[in-house]
Amino acid sequence: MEQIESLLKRPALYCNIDGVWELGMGAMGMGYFVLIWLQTHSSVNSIWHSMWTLFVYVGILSAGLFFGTKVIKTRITYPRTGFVSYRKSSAVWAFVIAFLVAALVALSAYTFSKRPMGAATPAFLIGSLVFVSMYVYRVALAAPWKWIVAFVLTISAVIIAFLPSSVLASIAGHSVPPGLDQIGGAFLLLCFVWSTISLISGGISLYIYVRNTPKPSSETE
Amino acid sequence: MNHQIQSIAELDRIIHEPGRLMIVTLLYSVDQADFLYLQYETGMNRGTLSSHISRLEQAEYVKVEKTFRGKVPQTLLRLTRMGRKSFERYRKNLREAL
Repeated sequence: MEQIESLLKRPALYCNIDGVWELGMGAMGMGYFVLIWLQTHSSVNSIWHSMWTLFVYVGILSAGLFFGTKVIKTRITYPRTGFVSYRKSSAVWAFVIAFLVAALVALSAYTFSKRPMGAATPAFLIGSLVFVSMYVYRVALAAPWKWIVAFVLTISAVIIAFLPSSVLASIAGHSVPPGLDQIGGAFLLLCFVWSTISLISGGISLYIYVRNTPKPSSETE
Repeated sequence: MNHQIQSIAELDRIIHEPGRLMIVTLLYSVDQADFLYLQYETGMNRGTLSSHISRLEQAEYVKVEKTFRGKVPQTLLRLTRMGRKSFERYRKNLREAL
């Protein structure tokens, strides 16, 4: 019975067999980090504060992520280990989880804006742990070495949460309102660190996958 | 007859075969998957996998669609509504039997 339950989870774990899920998350996080960094470290009249720039940038980023992951899947993954399309109910759950995470981030941002960083540290850590739990459920259950990545994600969140306020405020940049500078700096730094870890971890997964999984010699069937 | 023994007697024999059980379990979690994916996950050779799929298709538990990915033939498989219900019943009976 346990083997059946374990087999039922296999297709969901297959999503990141090639590291593409992590690469996508890392690229998205890094894309938003660059955008927010440019916005917070440029003058208010700069092009990075224009609504059109935001639309074009997010459009290009989304298109790049969509087609980039699709190219890796169709050129590398599907010819090697096969194609899977997921049920819509799973996609609905993904949206529900994404909504809950977004709500948690917004709540944390609000908490940070009302209180100094020190008092809001638990909220920051809880938000981070929710993300790490999602990572463990989605990725780390498939490959034991990903538990190290989950540990590094957790440790980096703890270190960032306890960084001095002056450091976080300096990372946030001059365009951030005074009440939001510490939270802004903390989220910006977390976004950069986690995106980098995700890109490295996804890159290693892709390398291992390509090295260990040769293309079948003849046609699919 | 004892309820537990009754549950064992009611196990679907088409699904109960280990190879077919793997196929049905994998297909239950997805919308559709191709032949290569099932081969990768189950570790079965083409002949064995094809024969199990034919048996499941005969029982109308699996729908098979032959298509092309570029110039390469691709066999897509999905569980039918009947296959899905049968697998749910099988899991329930197995749980009761254990």
